[in-house]
Amino acid sequence: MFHAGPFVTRFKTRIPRLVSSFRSNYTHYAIADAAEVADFALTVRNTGGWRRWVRRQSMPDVDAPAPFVPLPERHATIMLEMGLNWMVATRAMRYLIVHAAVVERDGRALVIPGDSGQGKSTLCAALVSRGWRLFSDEFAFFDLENGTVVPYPRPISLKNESIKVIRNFAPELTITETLTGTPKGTVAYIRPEPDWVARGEEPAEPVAIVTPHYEAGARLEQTPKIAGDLFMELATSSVNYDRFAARGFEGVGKLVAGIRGIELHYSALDDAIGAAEALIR
Amino acid sequence: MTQDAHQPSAVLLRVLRAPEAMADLSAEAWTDLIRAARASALLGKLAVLADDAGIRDGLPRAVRWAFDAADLACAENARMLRWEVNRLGHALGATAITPVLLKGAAYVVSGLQAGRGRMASDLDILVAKSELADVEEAVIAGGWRPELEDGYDERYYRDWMHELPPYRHEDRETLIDIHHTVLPLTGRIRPDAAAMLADAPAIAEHRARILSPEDMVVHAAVHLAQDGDLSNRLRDLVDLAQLVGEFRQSAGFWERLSERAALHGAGRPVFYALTTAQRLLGLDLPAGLIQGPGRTTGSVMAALIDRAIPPVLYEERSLGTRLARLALFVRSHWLRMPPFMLARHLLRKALRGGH
Repeated sequence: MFHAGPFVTRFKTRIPRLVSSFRSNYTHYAIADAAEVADFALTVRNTGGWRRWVRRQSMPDVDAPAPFVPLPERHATIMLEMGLNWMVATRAMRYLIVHAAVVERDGRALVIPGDSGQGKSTLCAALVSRGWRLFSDEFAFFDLENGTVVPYPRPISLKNESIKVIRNFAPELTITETLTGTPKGTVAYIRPEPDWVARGEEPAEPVAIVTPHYEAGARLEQTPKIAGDLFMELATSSVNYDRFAARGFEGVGKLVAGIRGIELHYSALDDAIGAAEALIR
Repeated sequence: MTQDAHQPSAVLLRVLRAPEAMADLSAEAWTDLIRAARASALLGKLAVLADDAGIRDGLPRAVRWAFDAADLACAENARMLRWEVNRLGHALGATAITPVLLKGAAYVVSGLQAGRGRMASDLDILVAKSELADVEEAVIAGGWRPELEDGYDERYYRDWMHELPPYRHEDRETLIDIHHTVLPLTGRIRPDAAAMLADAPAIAEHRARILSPEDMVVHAAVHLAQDGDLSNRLRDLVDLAQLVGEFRQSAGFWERLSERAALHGAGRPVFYALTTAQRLLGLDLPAGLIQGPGRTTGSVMAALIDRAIPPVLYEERSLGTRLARLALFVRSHWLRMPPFMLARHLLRKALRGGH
């Protein structure tokens, strides 16, 4: 049982490789008290049948039908991270959840939405290596009651080319494991720093939304977005906007009224970081 | 009961019988109770029961959040169902057809106790067989499309089943199951669909009807007996117990239920369903109500049902559970089809993989 942001997770596995991977990725997390109820209870176990003996596979058990395909045991870390992400996306309704990375500096948060492949996690990793605090590389939790954004620090996952980019750009970040030959290519995980984890219940005011577009050789270009476009961006990349009905509509309306939004085309990470810093001033 | 009282599904049954017991659970018991409730599609129901017992605000933080999330999901689902009923009514346009809502959609849209905290993924409706062609034409014009894997599925539905192949809406992706009777045409029990339709009352604010209280209980009971899908059995049993709990308030309910069960040839499934709800959920039944089977058959069935229904989590499933489930699965098909047809159907399914 451990705390990540506002949530308590109970994780169980008997797969030795996954136990050591978990210990390495979640080194700095506070162990939850046995007297706490878990928000997410996840078990990753080997699949049954003949696969128990030959080429063992692992699957997350989330107590309900879920769209997972078993992966080889050596990729069990992905099953843990995907299982937890799926639980967050489908079950955590305390917050409006948007599929986005979030980083913070001086109490001001930057939200980075974007589908995979556009550089969301890469930009997020680059920013946290330059003094920003990691909220999450996957989910922005908006508290509709007070308009803040709430941290949910978990290991950052990098894919393919971005692994090398971040290794070179930010050697001080700890890449705990690199898994090759997964359905998404090569996947690597960055261990969250003690400060990000310890301050996991410290919210911030969202001040800017940056939609990144990485393009090799591109010059830095920033295009401001109007509030209506930001509204649509948040609503469509939210996993639970529909659930909140009128409250979601009003909440997102209030959020975008106080937030600046830009489309960011870049090739050099340093330029992108400069632009981000200018945005929250 | 054959189970350890600390197993999550045993705790789930306990709080379903006595919701105030939720006030005294340990943190660990809660974590597993929430898992068991989710696995049996009963989390929203627990939230409602905790509300009614007046204990919800005092529950641990993670429990309150899980219940609030379940409320939101149920509210969204209810909006979807009401909208689908509205769209269906629109599609039926100038026809004289008022469809009868079945199961979850009926409970939710008509505002029954059983519909509170209850999700329903599809809209199940019952219409007269003579109305089928018009309904099919109307739903196609309304944007629903038949969803089938292959020609065998199409024949399976058209020739043997009590419903058309499922229709999915091309934009909203919602499913509608159009029934012309409540059980497969091939089965041993043939409820009188015409009588059900004749006695179905209209509901307020929608172009829709629901079954009469007694028919609704009979339908819930035969559904429990014959549905091969065991995953939501406990939820279906809770539905039945709540329907009975609500309808018994009206005088003469038990006598009418008895008559209606006899009319539909469903005395046996109603007996099993009610006595199972009595054993597992503490449903209070009047004595000597409906004639059951002989003592041996009755206790064998009780043992199978009690073993098969509650264990809902991976770690609770023993070999005994799996055998009991297999026995009830085979029985459900046995009731649905003559033996030769059953063998052919199961072989076909087995060759294709999955069930």
